[in-house]
Amino acid sequence: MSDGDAGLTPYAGGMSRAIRTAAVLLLGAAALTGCIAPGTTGPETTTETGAEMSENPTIEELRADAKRVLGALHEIVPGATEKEEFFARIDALAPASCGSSGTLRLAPALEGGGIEDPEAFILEAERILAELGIPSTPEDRNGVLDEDAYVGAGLPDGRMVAIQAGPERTMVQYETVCSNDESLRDALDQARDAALETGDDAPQSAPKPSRWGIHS
Amino acid sequence: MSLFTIDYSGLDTLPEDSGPLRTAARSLKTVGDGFDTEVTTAGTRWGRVQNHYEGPGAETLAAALKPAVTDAGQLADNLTTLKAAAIALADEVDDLNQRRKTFTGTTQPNAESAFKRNHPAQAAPGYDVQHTVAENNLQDEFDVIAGDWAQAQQTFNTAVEGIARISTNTGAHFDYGTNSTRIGEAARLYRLATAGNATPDDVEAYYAHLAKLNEDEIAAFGAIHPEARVTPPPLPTEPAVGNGFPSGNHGAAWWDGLSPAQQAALGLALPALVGNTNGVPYTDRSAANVRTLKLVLDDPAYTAEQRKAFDSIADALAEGDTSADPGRRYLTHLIPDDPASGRALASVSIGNLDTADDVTVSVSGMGSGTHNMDGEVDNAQGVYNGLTGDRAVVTWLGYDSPDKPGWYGLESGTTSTEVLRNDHANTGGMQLAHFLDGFHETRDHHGDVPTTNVIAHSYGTTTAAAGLTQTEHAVDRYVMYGSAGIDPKVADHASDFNVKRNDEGRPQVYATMAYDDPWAALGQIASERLSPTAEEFGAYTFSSDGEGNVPGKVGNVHDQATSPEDDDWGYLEERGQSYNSITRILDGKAESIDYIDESRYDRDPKDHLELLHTATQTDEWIAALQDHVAEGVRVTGEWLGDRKDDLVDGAEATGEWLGDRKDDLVDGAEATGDWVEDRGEDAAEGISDAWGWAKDKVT
Repeated sequence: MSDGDAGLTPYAGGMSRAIRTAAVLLLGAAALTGCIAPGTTGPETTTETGAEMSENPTIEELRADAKRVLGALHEIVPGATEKEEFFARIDALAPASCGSSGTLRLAPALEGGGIEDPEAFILEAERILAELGIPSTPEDRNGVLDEDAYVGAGLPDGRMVAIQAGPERTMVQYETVCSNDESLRDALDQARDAALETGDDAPQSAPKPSRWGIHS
Repeated sequence: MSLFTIDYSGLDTLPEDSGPLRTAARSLKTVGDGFDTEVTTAGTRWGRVQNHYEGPGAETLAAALKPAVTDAGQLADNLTTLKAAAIALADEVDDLNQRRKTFTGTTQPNAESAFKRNHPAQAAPGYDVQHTVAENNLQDEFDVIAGDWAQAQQTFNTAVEGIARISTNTGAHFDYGTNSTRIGEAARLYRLATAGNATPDDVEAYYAHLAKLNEDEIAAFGAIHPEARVTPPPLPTEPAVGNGFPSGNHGAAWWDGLSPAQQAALGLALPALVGNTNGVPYTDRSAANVRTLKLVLDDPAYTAEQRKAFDSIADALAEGDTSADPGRRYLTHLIPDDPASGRALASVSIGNLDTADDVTVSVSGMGSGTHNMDGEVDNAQGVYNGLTGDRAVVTWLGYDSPDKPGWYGLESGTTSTEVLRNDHANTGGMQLAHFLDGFHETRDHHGDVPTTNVIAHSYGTTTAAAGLTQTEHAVDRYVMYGSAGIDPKVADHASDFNVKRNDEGRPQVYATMAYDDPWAALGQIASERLSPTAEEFGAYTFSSDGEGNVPGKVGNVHDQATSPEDDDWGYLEERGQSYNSITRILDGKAESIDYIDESRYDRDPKDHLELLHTATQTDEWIAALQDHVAEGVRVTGEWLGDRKDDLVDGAEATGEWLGDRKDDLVDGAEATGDWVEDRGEDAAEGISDAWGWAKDKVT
């Protein structure tokens, strides 16, 4: 701690902070009313972009969508897992939570080796994304930092692609739309049962309880 | 269709018919009495052997069945107790079924009818607010019934546990093949170790005694003391002393001193102990914690809130590509019922903490908790994906975070002002320090301490700040985003944190804050905590507002992540400038970022009149303001009252409050006082005008 004046809060504000205090006081009152509470729930619809999907897609539909998008991007990810093997991983992927909405989605990631020309990579990635119907916008602020390329794109229905590519690694993250179809919950329950089985992992030397207690 | 959506799940396990329970209770008693009669008869007949044998040990032989007769009698007595408990439970079931019927058949329909009468137009201003309030009230009423059901089950379970264990008033019905004195001593030491006034010495004595038990005794202890299976000794509120509990050195030495059979038996019989002991390998801890999770997952003895947390933790272990290795998920600690807060505390790691080269521990803020473990781990998965190499990202929800305050929108369902206090951060900071030091020492025990980072959001920055001033071992980097402020009593400069320095000699402390994140600002101002993105704090400040050289979308909310369908952008959302910057820093590329002197929030405050204008554009706001202004004044007054007074009334005091802040802003106490007073009056007038305008609009 520095030797600031006792009893005072060092640089906790100035005149500017007085304005902010007034501002947040008013803003706080507004928020108290709930009118600017963050987070909204959009309609469960998908655009006409890409594969046909119902309004509340099943896990199979989401898998197909993920394969369509990541399958197309697969060609610009050097050294990535063979496409068929990667698709098998998508088939085995358990759904993930969709914020606090209680719905689920798939969020697969495709990892590969490094790239050499980040500017060219961005152009190519943007071309493929546009063909997929998930175009980048100026708000995505795609660009290069050092030798790393950053590309993003998304749709109002919640689908999202985020790509980081550098000399050593390329990572493509994709998130499907959210759905509350029971097929997703079923898939998650199966994965959950498997995950909880790890609690049974214990060396076989452990004694087993008998009906009447523990006997060696 | 019902007007109100009520969560009835609290009574999902309530049987509709108590008949089978009563039948079972009666038959249990009958069987117990029959068993007692049979054994007593057998004992009597066996005693007649004396008539036929007079050799050595004749008396002992004849009395051989006496213990069995005694035991059978006690069993019958206990089954009588059990029957009474079961009948009481059955009575409760009948009563609760009647109350459920009344609720669904009368209470809720009446409430809905009344609401429709009083609020006929859904489009009317304030309708949504009133609907939420009425629905919440109805839910509270139902939750009372559900709570009584949970209590009834707990009462019954207590009765059952009372006859299942050895105690001073209940005999054992089973031969555990063990030395009950040693088990009794373990139980005594456990009670001492978990008492409210337990010292580290008490806990160490418990650990030491367990190391003396063989695997059968360990298993027996766990079997007859179920509370020891799922409740570990609590962490102390002070730093570990030397190599004592709860240091990783203490736990590693203890674990290494056990035989494989003892380790296995402890993992099975006392999983919560193994799962929460610093020094034990994290893979073993995870297996033990998952076992604990399975034990508590559907246990009605836990509260609905705790069981919701268990459910979310279980989901978090399963979601995503969890079979992948690396990238597998581990339950690295789990305390089902934190004695201090009553909450379930836990942490989940993506990646193996025993082997990862780079480890990041994520500390979440207000309103976070294990009830949303899967959502938090989802955020951590994004961070994990953004990093390279053999890494792990830990979602650490190991403290009682403050509730979201009422001003965070009505959906928070609370008028809590906890976030403005520092006590949650101070307590949680110590728990985080135990975790971080425990991790360091666990890995150091094997000679390979990895790069360790801490990232924190909102009130998590307040907590992590407290933790990083109490750790024994320095972390490599500390990254803060959307900070609710740093308690100046804890730290007023980045160099106060136990964080390693870079080649420039500066602590590797980083911070960002989005200009459109009002809640972090509010948290800082109302609590008088410091902004870590201010230049004076000495952190490397990076932009979330589109400044600098890191690509990515501009952040515009306080949250870590937002709803996928909206256009808001949280600090940890992939594609965001904040996310891209944080992952670069954690990945060892911090030097490539163009830092700024301080965030736009710190140097370019917003015009409150513009905010007011924006905020008052919606009719909803006007209507809701009318409904809630009284409540708002009350709640707001509690946490901003002092500040408001400073602004409006206390020119001199405010001048002092501001006087020692930024020299360039304060040229003279008198001028500043006048200026602040004017601004205060502006603010007061603004509120008054808005209120008058709102009333005019509504009326």
